[in-house]
Amino acid sequence: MQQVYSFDAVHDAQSLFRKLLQSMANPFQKSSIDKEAGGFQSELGAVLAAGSTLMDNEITYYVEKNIELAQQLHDYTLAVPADYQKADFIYLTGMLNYENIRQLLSEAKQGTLSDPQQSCTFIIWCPQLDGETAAEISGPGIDGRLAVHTTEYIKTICRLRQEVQQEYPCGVDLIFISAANELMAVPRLCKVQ
Amino acid sequence: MIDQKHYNFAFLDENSKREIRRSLLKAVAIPGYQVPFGSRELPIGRGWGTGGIQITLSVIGKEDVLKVIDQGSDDSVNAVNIKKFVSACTGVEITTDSEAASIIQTRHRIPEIPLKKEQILVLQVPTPEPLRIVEPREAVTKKMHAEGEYSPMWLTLYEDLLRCGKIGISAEYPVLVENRYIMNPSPIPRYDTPKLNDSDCLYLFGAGREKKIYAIPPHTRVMPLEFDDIPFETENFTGKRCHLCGAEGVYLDELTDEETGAKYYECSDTGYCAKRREQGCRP
Repeated sequence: MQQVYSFDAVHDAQSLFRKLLQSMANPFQKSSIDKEAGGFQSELGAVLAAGSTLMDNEITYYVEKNIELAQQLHDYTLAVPADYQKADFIYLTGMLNYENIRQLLSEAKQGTLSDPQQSCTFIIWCPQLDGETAAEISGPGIDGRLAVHTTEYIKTICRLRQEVQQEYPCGVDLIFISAANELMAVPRLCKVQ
Repeated sequence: MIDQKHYNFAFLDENSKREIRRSLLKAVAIPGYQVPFGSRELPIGRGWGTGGIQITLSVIGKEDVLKVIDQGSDDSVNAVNIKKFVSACTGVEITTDSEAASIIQTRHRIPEIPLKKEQILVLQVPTPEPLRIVEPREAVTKKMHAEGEYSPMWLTLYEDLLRCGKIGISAEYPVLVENRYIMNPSPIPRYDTPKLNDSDCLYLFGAGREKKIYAIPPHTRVMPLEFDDIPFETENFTGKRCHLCGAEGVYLDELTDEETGAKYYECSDTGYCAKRREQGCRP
């Protein structure tokens, strides 16, 4: 008999959250969540682990073009599927075209000036986090300006977000998860050039 | 460690932790903004550090090393009780060494030794709203933050200057975070305020009674409110030293000899002082 779910909702969720917290506090800092992702027998184990850490029945979510993942996230967390304009979390797992991503970024919940926390967080799966594309990042969590190398896909998503982003503090936060079960975050104040 | 059959690891149930964790991520993404959260009941009265405790319980893991201080002291009642509680429900190692700790929960002080990148400082906050001294209504202060309308705060500081010749706020001196939000840094002394700016560590602030969480990520601009011609000043301890370890240039508590009435000074950060004495430092 094969066990399909061994993610520890207490300790694995805690360790994954700490890595996520440090990633959010230090943009573009990568953390391995291999152990936590191993709790799910799925190619998208890392995404499921992140979803299980953050979501519950008080949360709404939207998964773009991946019905199986949408069902699994609901099964594991009891979170409520919703339209992307109303979702607390939006999951992108395929390499979508940029126009599609732009639409999602611009129409997702941005929060309000009074309640900027009522905004959407994107959890984006991509084949890898490192790449040949050079970028310079700045903002809270970064000591001055930092040169990084990432993929064109990630850099373009960050650029698209900057283009559509409303006045701070409104905005969306991005969490990238790779096929190698690495995780990094790009909060709304992080500028990528 | 208490019976795991009856209490969850780190006391809080997982749904509560999840909600606090989501609030923490938003707080880090929006530095200085007070994120509302559903403050839970704890076996300790509100106003005794429940905001800080809930943050600590939500981030702590089995491998962590915890330090808890109250006004710089490792041995005060609040610190000892919090340490006992967290230790009982997590089994984590407890330390008094700021450098060895991965999480430091503190009330009213930031440790003397600069904290490192992976360390988390959790501050207990009694009154998170810095605008409360100028506006009692929560709905109005929320709108003021939304619009960045901080002129009443500046006016209060100016009136203070006119009346007293200087700004009279000693602890919890208001700061401006990333040039956007005015934030209450919790009742830390002025001496500790500059440590918030461009730090290496992550600061998390929890107000259990007021149900607010906020944060300062590393390398964030945190500037005390000051006028161009009246710079912010910290407490001055020039010429004073700790009577136990001889430390100078640190935050000192002023004590009085009951027999002679003479004043003498002692390091506020007891862990720092003890470590110096272990290294042979003497007055």
